[in-house]
Amino acid sequence: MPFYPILSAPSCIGRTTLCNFPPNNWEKPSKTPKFVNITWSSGSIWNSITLDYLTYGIAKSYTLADLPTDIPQGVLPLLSLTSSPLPRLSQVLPTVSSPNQLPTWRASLELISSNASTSYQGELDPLPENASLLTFPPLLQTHSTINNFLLFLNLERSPVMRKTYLKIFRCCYTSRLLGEFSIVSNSITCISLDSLNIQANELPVFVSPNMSGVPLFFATTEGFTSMSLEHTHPPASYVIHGKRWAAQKYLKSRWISQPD
Amino acid sequence: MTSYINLFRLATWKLWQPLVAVPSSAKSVVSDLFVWRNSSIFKTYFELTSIPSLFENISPYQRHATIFIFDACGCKINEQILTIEPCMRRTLDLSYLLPNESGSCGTFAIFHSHTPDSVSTLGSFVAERGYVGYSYQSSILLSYAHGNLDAVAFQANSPVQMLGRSSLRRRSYMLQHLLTPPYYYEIAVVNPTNSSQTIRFDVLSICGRLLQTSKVSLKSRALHFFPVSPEHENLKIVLHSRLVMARPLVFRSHDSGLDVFHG
Repeated sequence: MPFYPILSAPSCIGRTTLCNFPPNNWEKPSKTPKFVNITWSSGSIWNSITLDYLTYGIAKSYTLADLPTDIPQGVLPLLSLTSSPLPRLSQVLPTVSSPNQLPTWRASLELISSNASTSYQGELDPLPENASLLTFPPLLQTHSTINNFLLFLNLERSPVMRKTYLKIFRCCYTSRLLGEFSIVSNSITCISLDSLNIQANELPVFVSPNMSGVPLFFATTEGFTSMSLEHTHPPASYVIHGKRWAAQKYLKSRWISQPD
Repeated sequence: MTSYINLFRLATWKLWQPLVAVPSSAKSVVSDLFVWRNSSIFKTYFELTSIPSLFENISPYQRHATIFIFDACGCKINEQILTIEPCMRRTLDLSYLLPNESGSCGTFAIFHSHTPDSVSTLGSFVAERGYVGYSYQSSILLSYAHGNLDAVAFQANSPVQMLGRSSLRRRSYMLQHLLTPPYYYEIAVVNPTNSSQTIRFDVLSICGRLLQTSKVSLKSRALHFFPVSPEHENLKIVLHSRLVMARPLVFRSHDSGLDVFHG
Protein backbone atom coordinates (compact mmCIF):
# COMPACT_ATOMS: atom_id res chain seq x y z
CA MET A 1 0.00 0.00 0.00
CA PRO A 2 1.29 3.46 -0.76
CA PHE A 3 1.34 6.52 1.47
CA TYR A 4 -1.53 8.95 1.89
CA PRO A 5 -0.56 12.56 2.62
CA ILE A 6 -2.60 15.01 4.64
CA LEU A 7 -2.79 17.92 2.20
CA SER A 8 -2.46 21.59 3.00
CA ALA A 9 -3.40 24.77 1.13
CA PRO A 10 -4.04 28.43 1.99
CA SER A 11 -6.96 28.91 4.42
CA CYS A 12 -7.75 25.19 4.32
CA ILE A 13 -7.13 22.17 6.47
CA GLY A 14 -6.35 18.76 5.03
CA ARG A 15 -8.35 15.66 5.88
CA THR A 16 -7.42 12.18 4.73
CA THR A 17 -9.82 9.26 5.06
CA LEU A 18 -8.27 5.79 5.11
CA CYS A 19 -10.26 2.66 4.30
CA ASN A 20 -9.35 -0.75 5.65
CA PHE A 21 -11.24 -2.53 2.93
CA PRO A 22 -10.00 -3.25 -0.59
CA PRO A 23 -11.26 -1.68 -3.81
CA ASN A 24 -12.04 -5.06 -5.39
CA ASN A 25 -12.92 -8.63 -4.46
CA TRP A 26 -10.45 -10.55 -6.57
CA GLU A 27 -6.93 -9.64 -5.51
CA LYS A 28 -7.35 -11.73 -2.34
CA PRO A 29 -7.37 -9.05 0.35
CA SER A 30 -6.23 -9.81 3.87
CA LYS A 31 -9.22 -9.22 6.14
CA THR A 32 -7.13 -8.25 9.13
CA PRO A 33 -6.91 -5.14 11.29
CA LYS A 34 -4.19 -2.72 10.22
CA PHE A 35 -1.93 -0.25 11.93
CA VAL A 36 -2.31 3.40 10.93
CA ASN A 37 1.14 4.99 10.82
CA ILE A 38 2.16 8.59 10.47
CA THR A 39 5.55 9.13 8.79
CA TRP A 40 7.48 12.35 8.20
CA SER A 41 10.96 13.49 7.27
CA SER A 42 13.03 15.51 9.70
CA GLY A 43 15.57 16.24 6.96
CA SER A 44 18.07 13.51 7.74
CA ILE A 45 15.87 10.61 8.82
CA TRP A 46 12.37 9.24 8.42
CA ASN A 47 10.23 9.18 11.56
CA SER A 48 7.21 6.94 12.01
CA ILE A 49 4.68 6.62 14.82
CA THR A 50 1.74 4.25 15.14
CA LEU A 51 -1.29 6.48 15.32
CA ASP A 52 -4.25 4.14 15.34
CA TYR A 53 -5.53 0.65 14.66
CA LEU A 54 -8.28 0.08 12.09
CA THR A 55 -10.40 -3.04 12.12
CA TYR A 56 -11.32 -4.61 8.77
CA GLY A 57 -14.16 -2.90 6.94
CA ILE A 58 -13.74 0.42 8.72
CA ALA A 59 -12.78 3.84 7.36
CA LYS A 60 -11.57 6.77 9.45
CA SER A 61 -10.58 10.39 8.81
CA TYR A 62 -7.45 12.15 10.06
CA THR A 63 -6.46 15.82 10.15
CA LEU A 64 -3.39 17.55 11.58
CA ALA A 65 -5.31 17.95 14.84
CA ASP A 66 -5.36 14.16 15.23
CA LEU A 67 -1.57 13.87 15.08
CA PRO A 68 0.76 13.80 18.09
CA THR A 69 1.91 17.25 19.10
CA ASP A 70 5.60 16.35 18.82
CA ILE A 71 5.40 16.21 15.01
CA PRO A 72 7.09 19.40 13.74
CA GLN A 73 4.95 21.98 12.00
CA GLY A 74 5.41 22.34 8.25
CA VAL A 75 6.35 18.72 7.52
CA LEU A 76 4.40 16.59 5.05
CA PRO A 77 2.47 14.06 7.17
CA LEU A 78 2.16 10.69 5.43
CA LEU A 79 -0.40 8.17 6.58
CA SER A 80 -0.09 4.47 5.79
CA LEU A 81 -1.88 1.20 6.58
CA THR A 82 0.31 -1.77 7.47
CA SER A 83 -0.02 -5.16 9.09
CA SER A 84 2.82 -4.36 11.54
CA PRO A 85 4.12 -1.06 12.91
CA LEU A 86 6.74 0.79 10.90
CA PRO A 87 10.22 1.28 12.42
CA ARG A 88 10.42 4.39 14.61
CA LEU A 89 13.44 5.71 12.65
CA SER A 90 14.78 4.74 9.24
CA GLN A 91 17.41 6.03 6.83
CA VAL A 92 15.21 5.33 3.82
CA LEU A 93 11.46 5.61 3.50
CA PRO A 94 9.91 2.43 4.91
CA THR A 95 8.53 0.06 2.31
CA VAL A 96 4.78 -0.28 2.48
CA SER A 97 3.63 -3.14 0.31
CA SER A 98 0.35 -3.02 -1.58
CA PRO A 99 -1.96 -6.01 -1.99
CA ASN A 100 -3.83 -4.27 -4.81
CA GLN A 101 -2.76 -3.27 -8.28
CA LEU A 102 -5.96 -2.76 -10.25
CA PRO A 103 -7.13 -0.37 -9.02
CA THR A 104 -4.59 0.96 -6.57
CA TRP A 105 -5.66 1.09 -2.94
CA ARG A 106 -6.70 4.73 -2.49
CA ALA A 107 -7.78 7.18 0.18
CA SER A 108 -9.90 10.32 0.08
CA LEU A 109 -7.55 13.32 0.11
CA GLU A 110 -9.55 16.40 0.96
CA LEU A 111 -9.14 20.12 1.54
CA ILE A 112 -11.70 21.82 3.76
CA SER A 113 -12.44 25.51 4.28
CA SER A 114 -15.06 26.95 6.61
CA ASN A 115 -17.54 26.99 3.72
CA ALA A 116 -16.64 24.21 1.28
CA SER A 117 -14.56 21.14 0.63
CA THR A 118 -12.94 19.43 -2.36
CA SER A 119 -11.26 16.08 -2.73
CA TYR A 120 -9.81 13.42 -4.96
CA GLN A 121 -9.11 9.72 -4.56
CA GLY A 122 -5.35 9.42 -4.37
CA GLU A 123 -2.18 7.90 -3.07
CA LEU A 124 1.51 8.76 -3.10
CA ASP A 125 4.34 6.42 -3.97
CA PRO A 126 8.00 7.40 -3.64
CA LEU A 127 9.44 8.80 -6.87
CA PRO A 128 12.95 8.24 -8.23
CA GLU A 129 15.35 11.07 -7.38
CA ASN A 130 16.54 11.30 -10.97
CA ALA A 131 13.02 11.67 -12.39
CA SER A 132 11.66 14.80 -14.01
CA LEU A 133 8.28 16.48 -14.30
CA LEU A 134 6.46 17.47 -17.48
CA THR A 135 2.80 18.32 -17.49
CA PHE A 136 0.40 20.42 -19.58
CA PRO A 137 -2.41 21.58 -17.30
CA PRO A 138 -5.51 23.13 -18.88
CA LEU A 139 -7.03 23.55 -15.42
CA LEU A 140 -6.40 27.20 -14.60
CA GLN A 141 -9.65 29.08 -14.08
CA THR A 142 -9.29 32.62 -15.36
CA HIS A 143 -12.28 34.39 -13.78
CA SER A 144 -11.02 37.46 -11.90
CA THR A 145 -12.49 36.30 -8.59
CA ILE A 146 -10.96 32.81 -8.71
CA ASN A 147 -7.56 32.07 -7.19
CA ASN A 148 -5.44 29.26 -8.65
CA PHE A 149 -2.66 27.37 -6.92
CA LEU A 150 -0.30 24.58 -7.82
CA LEU A 151 0.18 22.16 -4.94
CA PHE A 152 3.32 20.27 -5.91
CA LEU A 153 3.51 17.00 -4.01
CA ASN A 154 6.76 15.05 -3.87
CA LEU A 155 7.95 11.97 -2.01
CA GLU A 156 11.35 10.28 -2.35
CA ARG A 157 13.02 7.43 -0.50
CA SER A 158 15.76 9.65 0.89
CA PRO A 159 14.70 11.84 3.85
CA VAL A 160 16.80 14.74 2.53
CA MET A 161 14.64 17.73 1.66
CA ARG A 162 16.42 18.90 -1.44
CA LYS A 163 15.47 22.04 -3.31
CA THR A 164 15.27 22.53 -7.05
CA TYR A 165 13.22 24.60 -9.48
CA LEU A 166 10.07 24.32 -11.53
CA LYS A 167 9.63 26.44 -14.64
CA ILE A 168 6.33 27.39 -16.21
CA PHE A 169 6.21 28.19 -19.92
CA ARG A 170 3.64 29.00 -22.50
CA CYS A 171 3.40 26.13 -24.98
CA CYS A 172 3.25 28.67 -27.81
CA TYR A 173 4.91 32.03 -28.51
CA THR A 174 8.52 33.06 -28.55
CA SER A 175 8.54 34.77 -25.14
CA ARG A 176 7.63 31.62 -23.36
CA LEU A 177 9.00 31.63 -19.81
CA LEU A 178 6.27 32.71 -17.39
CA GLY A 179 7.93 31.98 -14.08
CA GLU A 180 10.43 29.96 -12.09
CA PHE A 181 9.71 28.66 -8.61
CA SER A 182 11.49 26.67 -5.89
CA ILE A 183 10.16 23.24 -5.06
CA VAL A 184 11.24 20.97 -2.22
CA SER A 185 11.27 17.19 -2.01
CA ASN A 186 9.25 15.27 0.60
CA SER A 187 6.85 18.15 0.96
CA ILE A 188 3.90 19.94 -0.55
CA THR A 189 4.92 23.22 -2.23
CA CYS A 190 2.17 25.78 -2.80
CA ILE A 191 2.63 28.16 -5.74
CA SER A 192 0.13 30.91 -6.59
CA LEU A 193 -0.48 30.94 -10.34
CA ASP A 194 -2.61 34.07 -10.73
CA SER A 195 0.26 36.52 -11.24
CA LEU A 196 1.43 34.60 -14.32
CA ASN A 197 -1.41 36.10 -16.32
CA ILE A 198 -2.12 32.91 -18.27
CA GLN A 199 -4.98 33.54 -20.69
CA ALA A 200 -8.02 31.27 -21.04
CA ASN A 201 -6.88 29.95 -24.44
CA GLU A 202 -3.24 29.45 -23.47
CA LEU A 203 -1.85 26.05 -22.57
CA PRO A 204 0.98 26.24 -20.04
CA VAL A 205 3.68 23.63 -19.64
CA PHE A 206 5.20 22.90 -16.25
CA VAL A 207 8.75 21.53 -16.29
CA SER A 208 11.11 20.38 -13.57
CA PRO A 209 14.19 18.58 -14.96
CA ASN A 210 15.42 17.43 -11.53
CA MET A 211 12.33 16.39 -9.59
CA SER A 212 9.11 14.59 -10.30
CA GLY A 213 5.92 14.94 -8.35
CA VAL A 214 2.15 14.99 -8.38
CA PRO A 215 0.90 18.37 -9.67
CA LEU A 216 -2.37 19.20 -7.92
CA PHE A 217 -4.36 22.16 -9.22
CA PHE A 218 -6.38 23.88 -6.54
CA ALA A 219 -8.82 26.65 -7.41
CA THR A 220 -11.04 28.59 -5.07
CA THR A 221 -13.46 31.48 -5.19
CA GLU A 222 -12.78 34.49 -2.97
CA GLY A 223 -13.96 33.62 0.50
CA PHE A 224 -13.36 29.92 -0.21
CA THR A 225 -17.07 29.33 -0.83
CA SER A 226 -16.36 26.94 -3.73
CA MET A 227 -13.19 24.93 -4.33
CA SER A 228 -11.81 22.53 -6.94
CA LEU A 229 -8.92 20.08 -6.75
CA GLU A 230 -7.60 17.79 -9.47
CA HIS A 231 -4.23 16.42 -10.56
CA THR A 232 -2.92 16.29 -14.09
CA HIS A 233 -1.66 13.18 -15.80
CA PRO A 234 1.96 12.28 -16.55
CA PRO A 235 2.74 12.45 -20.30
CA ALA A 236 2.49 8.66 -20.65
CA SER A 237 -1.27 9.06 -20.27
CA TYR A 238 -1.46 10.73 -23.67
CA VAL A 239 -1.00 7.32 -25.27
CA ILE A 240 -2.23 3.79 -24.71
CA HIS A 241 -0.70 0.36 -25.37
CA GLY A 242 2.74 -0.23 -26.87
CA LYS A 243 5.79 1.38 -25.30
CA ARG A 244 3.99 4.10 -23.35
CA TRP A 245 7.01 4.98 -21.24
CA ALA A 246 9.12 5.39 -24.39
CA ALA A 247 6.49 7.83 -25.63
CA GLN A 248 6.79 9.71 -22.35
CA LYS A 249 10.57 9.75 -22.67
CA TYR A 250 10.26 11.12 -26.20
CA LEU A 251 7.87 13.86 -25.08
CA LYS A 252 10.14 14.82 -22.19
CA SER A 253 13.17 15.02 -24.45
CA ARG A 254 11.18 17.26 -26.81
CA TRP A 255 9.98 19.68 -24.12
CA ILE A 256 12.37 19.63 -21.19
CA SER A 257 15.51 20.26 -23.24
CA GLN A 258 14.09 23.32 -25.01
CA PRO A 259 15.70 26.68 -24.26
CA ASP A 260 13.71 29.40 -22.50
CA MET B 1 0.01 -27.05 -4.26
CA THR B 2 -1.43 -23.90 -2.64
CA SER B 3 0.49 -21.69 -5.04
CA TYR B 4 -0.95 -23.63 -8.02
CA ILE B 5 -4.45 -23.10 -6.65
CA ASN B 6 -3.74 -19.39 -6.24
CA LEU B 7 -2.39 -19.18 -9.78
CA PHE B 8 -5.49 -20.90 -11.14
CA ARG B 9 -7.72 -18.63 -9.07
CA LEU B 10 -5.97 -15.52 -10.40
CA ALA B 11 -6.09 -16.86 -13.96
CA THR B 12 -9.89 -16.99 -13.80
CA TRP B 13 -9.83 -13.27 -13.07
CA LYS B 14 -7.08 -12.18 -15.42
CA LEU B 15 -6.77 -14.36 -18.53
CA TRP B 16 -8.39 -12.90 -21.67
CA GLN B 17 -9.86 -10.09 -19.57
CA PRO B 18 -7.80 -7.00 -20.34
CA LEU B 19 -8.91 -3.71 -18.86
CA VAL B 20 -8.70 -2.16 -22.32
CA ALA B 21 -8.52 -4.04 -25.64
CA VAL B 22 -6.10 -3.08 -28.40
CA PRO B 23 -7.83 -1.14 -31.23
CA SER B 24 -8.29 -3.24 -34.35
CA SER B 25 -6.70 -0.64 -36.62
CA ALA B 26 -3.22 0.82 -36.18
CA LYS B 27 -4.62 4.13 -37.39
CA SER B 28 -7.20 4.41 -34.63
CA VAL B 29 -7.25 7.12 -32.03
CA VAL B 30 -8.68 6.51 -28.57
CA SER B 31 -10.85 8.41 -26.12
CA ASP B 32 -12.28 8.03 -22.67
CA LEU B 33 -16.05 7.80 -22.41
CA PHE B 34 -16.74 11.05 -20.56
CA VAL B 35 -19.93 12.06 -18.74
CA TRP B 36 -21.91 15.16 -19.69
CA ARG B 37 -24.68 16.80 -17.70
CA ASN B 38 -26.85 19.64 -18.93
CA SER B 39 -29.68 21.06 -16.82
CA SER B 40 -30.67 24.13 -14.88
CA ILE B 41 -28.24 22.95 -12.19
CA PHE B 42 -25.34 21.38 -14.11
CA LYS B 43 -23.26 22.47 -17.09
CA THR B 44 -20.36 20.57 -18.62
CA TYR B 45 -17.11 21.84 -20.15
CA PHE B 46 -14.25 19.95 -21.77
CA GLU B 47 -10.68 21.24 -21.89
CA LEU B 48 -9.55 20.43 -25.42
CA THR B 49 -5.86 20.55 -26.29
CA SER B 50 -4.17 19.19 -29.39
CA ILE B 51 -2.29 16.14 -28.13
CA PRO B 52 -0.65 15.38 -31.53
CA SER B 53 0.88 18.89 -31.54
CA LEU B 54 2.71 18.10 -28.30
CA PHE B 55 4.55 15.27 -30.10
CA GLU B 56 5.27 16.90 -33.46
CA ASN B 57 4.63 19.94 -35.63
CA ILE B 58 1.28 19.34 -37.26
CA SER B 59 -0.07 20.56 -40.58
CA PRO B 60 -3.10 22.89 -40.89
CA TYR B 61 -5.12 19.84 -42.02
CA GLN B 62 -4.47 18.14 -38.69
CA ARG B 63 -5.71 20.97 -36.48
CA HIS B 64 -8.95 19.35 -35.50
CA ALA B 65 -10.60 16.79 -33.29
CA THR B 66 -13.96 15.05 -33.57
CA ILE B 67 -16.50 14.86 -30.79
CA PHE B 68 -19.09 12.07 -30.59
CA ILE B 69 -21.95 12.74 -28.21
CA PHE B 70 -24.22 9.97 -26.95
CA ASP B 71 -27.44 10.21 -24.96
CA ALA B 72 -28.01 8.42 -21.66
CA CYS B 73 -28.94 5.24 -23.56
CA GLY B 74 -25.72 5.26 -25.59
CA CYS B 75 -27.26 6.39 -28.90
CA LYS B 76 -25.20 8.86 -30.91
CA ILE B 77 -26.91 12.25 -31.01
CA ASN B 78 -24.16 14.39 -32.52
CA GLU B 79 -20.82 14.16 -34.29
CA GLN B 80 -18.91 17.34 -34.93
CA ILE B 81 -15.45 18.39 -36.07
CA LEU B 82 -13.80 20.94 -33.78
CA THR B 83 -10.84 23.10 -34.70
CA ILE B 84 -7.97 23.31 -32.24
CA GLU B 85 -4.78 25.31 -32.66
CA PRO B 86 -1.49 23.56 -31.84
CA CYS B 87 -0.33 23.89 -28.24
CA MET B 88 -3.38 25.92 -27.26
CA ARG B 89 -6.38 25.32 -25.03
CA ARG B 90 -10.00 25.45 -26.09
CA THR B 91 -12.73 25.14 -23.48
CA LEU B 92 -15.77 23.45 -25.02
CA ASP B 93 -19.16 24.32 -23.59
CA LEU B 94 -21.06 21.08 -24.20
CA SER B 95 -24.43 22.85 -24.02
CA TYR B 96 -23.66 24.41 -27.44
CA LEU B 97 -22.97 20.99 -28.97
CA LEU B 98 -26.09 19.21 -27.72
CA PRO B 99 -29.09 18.95 -30.05
CA ASN B 100 -32.50 19.94 -28.73
CA GLU B 101 -34.14 17.34 -26.48
CA SER B 102 -30.87 15.54 -25.75
CA GLY B 103 -31.93 14.93 -22.18
CA SER B 104 -30.04 15.97 -19.08
CA CYS B 105 -27.07 13.61 -19.25
CA GLY B 106 -25.11 11.26 -21.47
CA THR B 107 -21.60 10.38 -22.55
CA PHE B 108 -19.13 11.73 -25.09
CA ALA B 109 -15.78 10.93 -26.65
CA ILE B 110 -13.10 13.15 -28.22
CA PHE B 111 -10.93 11.79 -31.02
CA HIS B 112 -7.80 13.58 -32.17
CA SER B 113 -6.94 13.94 -35.85
CA HIS B 114 -4.27 11.24 -35.88
CA THR B 115 -1.65 9.35 -33.93
CA PRO B 116 1.77 10.93 -34.62
CA ASP B 117 4.45 8.74 -36.20
CA SER B 118 6.61 9.07 -33.09
CA VAL B 119 3.80 7.37 -31.15
CA SER B 120 2.63 4.78 -33.69
CA THR B 121 6.17 3.48 -34.19
CA LEU B 122 6.09 2.51 -30.50
CA GLY B 123 2.94 0.46 -31.06
CA SER B 124 0.92 3.07 -29.16
CA PHE B 125 -2.19 5.13 -29.90
CA VAL B 126 -3.01 8.71 -28.97
CA ALA B 127 -5.59 8.68 -26.18
CA GLU B 128 -7.73 11.52 -24.88
CA ARG B 129 -8.10 11.14 -21.11
CA GLY B 130 -8.55 14.83 -20.49
CA TYR B 131 -10.32 17.04 -18.09
CA VAL B 132 -14.06 17.64 -17.76
CA GLY B 133 -15.27 20.63 -15.76
CA TYR B 134 -18.72 20.70 -14.17
CA SER B 135 -20.44 23.86 -12.99
CA TYR B 136 -23.11 23.60 -10.31
CA GLN B 137 -25.96 26.02 -9.75
CA SER B 138 -24.68 29.60 -10.09
CA SER B 139 -21.07 28.95 -9.08
CA ILE B 140 -18.43 30.44 -11.39
CA LEU B 141 -15.98 27.71 -10.36
CA LEU B 142 -15.66 24.47 -12.31
CA SER B 143 -15.10 21.21 -10.49
CA TYR B 144 -12.73 19.12 -12.62
CA ALA B 145 -12.38 15.37 -13.03
CA HIS B 146 -9.86 13.69 -15.30
CA GLY B 147 -10.61 10.80 -17.65
CA ASN B 148 -9.83 7.41 -16.25
CA LEU B 149 -10.53 4.73 -18.84
CA ASP B 150 -9.49 4.47 -22.48
CA ALA B 151 -12.86 3.21 -23.64
CA VAL B 152 -13.49 3.99 -27.30
CA ALA B 153 -11.42 3.76 -30.49
CA PHE B 154 -12.19 5.50 -33.75
CA GLN B 155 -10.85 5.48 -37.28
CA ALA B 156 -12.24 7.75 -39.97
CA ASN B 157 -15.11 6.23 -41.99
CA SER B 158 -15.53 3.34 -39.54
CA PRO B 159 -17.88 2.82 -36.61
CA VAL B 160 -16.49 3.42 -33.14
CA GLN B 161 -14.99 0.41 -31.39
CA MET B 162 -15.63 -0.12 -27.69
CA LEU B 163 -12.44 -1.18 -25.91
CA GLY B 164 -13.87 -2.15 -22.53
CA ARG B 165 -14.10 -5.90 -21.91
CA SER B 166 -16.38 -8.12 -19.86
CA SER B 167 -15.08 -10.31 -17.10
CA LEU B 168 -15.62 -14.07 -16.97
CA ARG B 169 -16.74 -13.72 -13.35
CA ARG B 170 -18.79 -11.06 -11.64
CA ARG B 171 -16.59 -8.52 -9.92
CA SER B 172 -17.16 -6.14 -7.05
CA TYR B 173 -15.81 -2.60 -7.02
CA MET B 174 -15.75 -1.13 -3.52
CA LEU B 175 -15.53 2.65 -3.57
CA GLN B 176 -12.84 3.64 -1.05
CA HIS B 177 -14.73 6.74 -0.04
CA LEU B 178 -17.22 7.18 2.78
CA LEU B 179 -20.51 8.77 1.82
CA THR B 180 -21.28 11.24 4.58
CA PRO B 181 -24.22 13.47 5.58
CA PRO B 182 -25.25 16.12 4.65
CA TYR B 183 -23.95 15.61 1.11
CA TYR B 184 -26.06 14.30 -1.76
CA TYR B 185 -24.23 11.80 -3.94
CA GLU B 186 -24.80 10.73 -7.52
CA ILE B 187 -22.65 7.78 -8.56
CA ALA B 188 -22.22 7.77 -12.34
CA VAL B 189 -21.40 4.51 -14.13
CA VAL B 190 -20.82 4.13 -17.88
CA ASN B 191 -20.67 1.00 -19.99
CA PRO B 192 -17.43 0.95 -22.03
CA THR B 193 -18.10 -2.47 -23.57
CA ASN B 194 -19.86 -3.44 -26.78
CA SER B 195 -22.69 -5.30 -25.08
CA SER B 196 -25.31 -4.56 -22.43
CA GLN B 197 -24.11 -4.91 -18.86
CA THR B 198 -26.05 -5.43 -15.67
CA ILE B 199 -24.82 -3.48 -12.67
CA ARG B 200 -25.98 -4.07 -9.11
CA PHE B 201 -25.49 -1.17 -6.73
CA ASP B 202 -25.35 -1.87 -2.99
CA VAL B 203 -25.40 0.72 -0.23
CA LEU B 204 -23.93 -0.56 3.04
CA SER B 205 -23.62 0.75 6.55
CA ILE B 206 -20.10 1.27 7.82
CA CYS B 207 -20.25 -2.13 9.54
CA GLY B 208 -21.30 -3.82 6.28
CA ARG B 209 -25.07 -4.15 6.72
CA LEU B 210 -26.91 -4.00 3.37
CA LEU B 211 -29.26 -1.01 3.46
CA GLN B 212 -30.33 -0.63 -0.14
CA THR B 213 -29.77 -2.40 -3.43
CA SER B 214 -30.72 -1.58 -6.99
CA LYS B 215 -29.97 -3.02 -10.40
CA VAL B 216 -29.73 -1.49 -13.84
CA SER B 217 -29.03 -2.78 -17.34
CA LEU B 218 -26.77 -0.45 -19.29
CA LYS B 219 -26.46 -0.53 -23.07
CA SER B 220 -23.12 0.09 -24.72
CA ARG B 221 -21.91 3.69 -24.11
CA ALA B 222 -24.86 4.33 -21.79
CA LEU B 223 -24.79 6.11 -18.45
CA HIS B 224 -26.67 5.70 -15.19
CA PHE B 225 -26.68 7.69 -11.96
CA PHE B 226 -27.25 5.94 -8.64
CA PRO B 227 -28.41 8.55 -6.10
CA VAL B 228 -27.48 8.22 -2.43
CA SER B 229 -28.46 10.61 0.33
CA PRO B 230 -26.89 9.65 3.67
CA GLU B 231 -29.07 11.02 6.44
CA HIS B 232 -27.85 9.79 9.81
CA GLU B 233 -24.74 7.72 9.20
CA ASN B 234 -21.74 7.27 6.95
CA LEU B 235 -22.25 4.81 4.11
CA LYS B 236 -20.20 2.62 1.76
CA ILE B 237 -21.12 1.55 -1.75
CA VAL B 238 -20.24 -1.50 -3.84
CA LEU B 239 -20.81 -2.01 -7.58
CA HIS B 240 -21.22 -5.61 -8.79
CA SER B 241 -20.92 -6.31 -12.52
CA ARG B 242 -18.96 -8.08 -15.21
CA LEU B 243 -17.11 -4.86 -16.04
CA VAL B 244 -13.39 -5.38 -15.52
CA MET B 245 -13.25 -1.99 -13.83
CA ALA B 246 -16.56 -0.45 -12.78
CA ARG B 247 -14.83 2.67 -11.54
CA PRO B 248 -17.54 5.30 -11.02
CA LEU B 249 -17.52 9.07 -11.27
CA VAL B 250 -18.80 10.57 -8.04
CA PHE B 251 -20.77 13.83 -7.82
CA ARG B 252 -20.95 15.08 -4.22
CA SER B 253 -23.10 18.17 -3.81
CA HIS B 254 -24.40 20.37 -1.04
CA ASP B 255 -25.64 23.94 -0.66
CA SER B 256 -22.01 25.00 -0.55
CA GLY B 257 -21.12 23.53 -3.93
CA LEU B 258 -20.00 20.54 -5.90
CA ASP B 259 -17.13 18.09 -5.65
CA VAL B 260 -16.53 15.66 -8.54
CA PHE B 261 -13.98 12.86 -8.46
CA HIS B 262 -13.26 9.39 -9.78
CA GLY B 263 -13.54 6.37 -7.54
